[in-house]
Amino acid sequence: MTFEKILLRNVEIPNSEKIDVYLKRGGYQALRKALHEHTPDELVEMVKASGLRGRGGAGFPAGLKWSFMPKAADVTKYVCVNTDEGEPGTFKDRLLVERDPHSIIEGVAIAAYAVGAHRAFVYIRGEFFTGVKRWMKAIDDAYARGFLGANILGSGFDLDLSVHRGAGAYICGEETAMLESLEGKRGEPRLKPPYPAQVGLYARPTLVHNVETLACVPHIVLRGPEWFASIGTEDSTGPKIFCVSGDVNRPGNYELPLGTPLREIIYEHAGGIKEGRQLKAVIPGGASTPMLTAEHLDVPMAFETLHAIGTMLGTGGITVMDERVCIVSAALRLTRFFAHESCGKCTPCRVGTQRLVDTLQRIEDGRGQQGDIERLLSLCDGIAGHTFCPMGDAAVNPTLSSIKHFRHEYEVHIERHRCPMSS
Amino acid sequence: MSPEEQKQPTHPETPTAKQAQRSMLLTALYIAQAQYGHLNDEALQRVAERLGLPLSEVYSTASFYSLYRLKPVGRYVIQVCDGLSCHLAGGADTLVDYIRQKLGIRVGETTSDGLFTLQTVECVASCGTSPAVRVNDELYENMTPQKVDRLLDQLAGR
Amino acid sequence: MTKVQITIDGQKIAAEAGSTVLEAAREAGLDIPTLCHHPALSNWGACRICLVEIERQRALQTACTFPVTEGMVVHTESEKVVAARKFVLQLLFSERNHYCMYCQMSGDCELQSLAYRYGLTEWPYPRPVEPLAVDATRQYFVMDHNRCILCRRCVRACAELVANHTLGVRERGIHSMITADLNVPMGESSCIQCGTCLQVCPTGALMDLKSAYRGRETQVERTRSTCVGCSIGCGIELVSRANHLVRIEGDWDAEVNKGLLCVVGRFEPLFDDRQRVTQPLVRRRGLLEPCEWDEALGLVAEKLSGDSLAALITTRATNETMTQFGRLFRSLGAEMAAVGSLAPAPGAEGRLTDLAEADVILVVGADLKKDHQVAGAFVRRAVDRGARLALVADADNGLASYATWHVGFDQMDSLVGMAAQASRPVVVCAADLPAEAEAALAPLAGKASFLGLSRGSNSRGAVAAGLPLSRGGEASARVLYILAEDDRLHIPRNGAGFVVAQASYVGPLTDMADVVLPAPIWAEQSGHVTNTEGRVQSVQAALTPPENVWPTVKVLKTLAGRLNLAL
Repeated sequence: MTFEKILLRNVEIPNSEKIDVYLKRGGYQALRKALHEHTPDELVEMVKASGLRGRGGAGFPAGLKWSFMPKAADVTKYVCVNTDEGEPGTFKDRLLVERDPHSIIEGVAIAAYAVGAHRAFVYIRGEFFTGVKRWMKAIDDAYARGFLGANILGSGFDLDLSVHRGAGAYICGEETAMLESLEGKRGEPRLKPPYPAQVGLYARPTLVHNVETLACVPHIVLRGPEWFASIGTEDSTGPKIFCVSGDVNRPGNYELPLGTPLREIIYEHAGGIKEGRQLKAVIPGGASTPMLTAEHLDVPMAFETLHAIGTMLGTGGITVMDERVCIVSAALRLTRFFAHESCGKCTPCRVGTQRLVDTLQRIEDGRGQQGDIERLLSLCDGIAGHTFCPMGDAAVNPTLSSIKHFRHEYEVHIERHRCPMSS
Repeated sequence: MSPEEQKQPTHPETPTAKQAQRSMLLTALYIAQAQYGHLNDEALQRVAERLGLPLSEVYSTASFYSLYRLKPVGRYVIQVCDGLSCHLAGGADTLVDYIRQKLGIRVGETTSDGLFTLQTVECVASCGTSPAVRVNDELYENMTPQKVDRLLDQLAGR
Repeated sequence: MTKVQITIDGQKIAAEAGSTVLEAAREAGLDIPTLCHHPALSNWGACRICLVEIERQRALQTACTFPVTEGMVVHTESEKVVAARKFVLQLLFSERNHYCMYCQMSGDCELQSLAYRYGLTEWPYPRPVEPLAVDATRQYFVMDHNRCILCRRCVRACAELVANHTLGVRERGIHSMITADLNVPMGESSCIQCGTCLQVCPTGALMDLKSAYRGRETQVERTRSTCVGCSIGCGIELVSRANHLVRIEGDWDAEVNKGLLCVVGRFEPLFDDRQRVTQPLVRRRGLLEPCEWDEALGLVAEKLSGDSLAALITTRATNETMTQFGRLFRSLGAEMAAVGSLAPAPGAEGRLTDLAEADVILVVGADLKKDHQVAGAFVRRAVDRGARLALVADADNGLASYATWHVGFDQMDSLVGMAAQASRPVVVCAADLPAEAEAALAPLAGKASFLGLSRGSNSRGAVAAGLPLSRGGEASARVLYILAEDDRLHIPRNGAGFVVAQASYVGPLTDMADVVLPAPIWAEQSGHVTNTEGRVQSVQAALTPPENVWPTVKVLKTLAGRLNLAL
């Protein structure tokens, strides 16, 4: 099945990151339309009507987020672009930033106009060196052509946009940790409430969005919220970039309507499992989301349908594991990531993730003990819901979901005192 | 600067000068790291003085982020992605083993000529083009031992 | 204050709107456990021990941060809550080497008492085997990382209360560690040894060298008093056991210092190793020899009634002592003085709390890192908040790095002019300023509030008792009476034929004295002192003086009786 590319319409065009190419492809028309034909309130309503939900992982309705920003004109407000893509299995934002940065700038400018912000910041993952350069160049060019700066396109609306480079911390993808990092501090999450829409960057109301979310905005403005809402399912509207990696023949980014079945994405678009092997497990939305098995392949990839079977759409990062994969080792690798990225502020995440790693490691190494599975489950139970930020809930998912679906494999590890998958 | 020149409005806009200064910390650390090779005491001290920040805040922040180096490293820092997708694509372990043997160092170590440091890192968002290796700030995708050979030779100027 | 109705554990409570669940519960006498929370510090919400169940909230919430709302129903010891707390404790005990048996905090440790409360009887997770470093590079207290739970009370106290920013956290996750400056040993850091971190530490990680192992909370006595280390007059609690001072803590409820102390107030009195004077002494054939009070007082009374007389008193003395001293020596026609001085205040006298509101702080001649250190902390806090510091002082002033402007006395006028333009300027003046500097402050009269830092702890009390202030070197008379108590006064003999020293310790004064009358130290007598703001505060005896040491006032009264003076 083919689907008209919307978010990825430019990425394969040569020099798609250049402003001239973007303009030639109809770029910045949405910004012009937004500034000249719509009031900020209308834009908020349009985004609400489009049903757009955040693409960074949590899936919060974007229009609602916009409407939470205070209306008062005399309050300094900010917009922040979260380009801290660090969720293992996810590589869509990097593509958008490297290949189509202007579509995001356009989205930022429209969002800023809608919420009355005159200053916006891009927070980009420190590892994305090419992305940093592309962002900077795109911003310079956008200023030079009057899409940023004072009196944008003669509308009287001013917006400054600058890039802030992170320095290697997954937790900065969490919006309040990102704000701390933007302020030059350790990327440790803040207490919520208050939420960023009330007290955000420099203690001012702040709208934080993921790159892909903002990239949807110009299309909603140009083609209307009804058009956007007609794509996908009722509760999950619009196109989505699915990142497929792991044991598939054609790993890569695939833009499809939300609600596309997981099976179709893996077997049609990504070319199926390598060498015709069997699918063992699949992570549907990045390392934070509980893994699924072959029996779940017909699930439509949408917020509500994945939630209904106990997992999440997350970032849309699909990692496929075939029959050769040791599930304990996979869970260990994923959990090690979370332990490594724990900021250390709260006890359950700081210590709990490390205890998970210790226990998984000894099972994988053949030193597992009777009761280790229960120990893992009680660790997960103790961490989930008890941490300072959502990272604790994410960190237990690899362990919890792999035990749920592959408990027997854990038992075999413990009984035989070795990993059955290693020769 | 005279006192008159420094007088500020009673209700300063954000970011205040102090906040803006503080926001420069991550950038300043990158600059210092580029100048000194790694963030030694002198580099950190200079950053603290320049931005008017306490030493403890500078150290706490620098040691929080994985891209800042508080210890000396080689001219080229080879970072092999240790993420699940790279692993599935036959990455991390194979490449790390290969590089270890080729350079005769363990993960975290630097070659005696000071040229290469080997590290493993978490997912670098190249899962669709894995296995991935970063060298300093450059990303290399779809890596194989052969490609690593060529890359290391090229960097070593051979 | 608006109230909201909430229910905690079935108990209906009218809680203050805007307060947290924890505050509301504590107000009602309910005990929700905490570790990272401290009332003097910002709400942190990180240790997760105070998790409570709030109806209609999806997850457990931290009581220390969650605001109360009308109709809220809270359960503080439900099964879910207890399980979560027990889990947090299990993790903390698995993180570091908490071996209570050998810890000086055993019995007083907040972590240990929670382990008992929640019945932690086993170790579900392996415990660390590698010991961590103990940093013993500071003079008065050590940091044992093995007992640290990373609650960061110390870090927050150092930043928020003392505004010294020495402490930080290095790395992240399981590798997190409390550190100082650029990860240096504490003794080589910018630490000013105020000990505030020690006072807020919930475990034995920060250990006071003097009080360690010298008594649990149930074995010691606490006496609320006032520090006489300088004229700030910080509220303190004297912790004592068996007539020995074990520790001094800042009084969180004290209006002046709100819990802060400095190295002078917290540690120095405990490390005073001077030799006590325990009985009256009389010099015979060049040597001081013990004698009875009767003999010593007789000799002194005889000398006081004859020749020209000068009498000096320490400004560590209480108002009661000052008054009695004044009466006695005034009626004897003596030349009197208290050894101290007041700072100029050409305008409205301010209070320390004014610093919290100031937009510009002009510090003239004072080094607040050396003297009046608690005022220094308030100034640094103001600077952190955005106030600007204008410093008229020597180049090596301890607050130089916090100053926006820093000039010598010769360029003082420009800063005075600037401060006059500020909306809430506060001037902090040292005593003994050059006359020109005092004059230069005149334009600020009526504009700024003035906080003069008098030299000598109770110089204002001396003035109130009618005693002139002096540096102590000017007196010249045939007979010299020096009431020093525990002060380290340096008074020249100036040709006096007979010297009486009423002193607590052996030192230069007793060396030159002809009669030495033993005196109690400040912690051994009660009375009042007047701080540099003019606040009259209470000093309470926590210790009983040695058997043959009389209260200072009793000595003065007895002398008056001997001289047949009706005072």
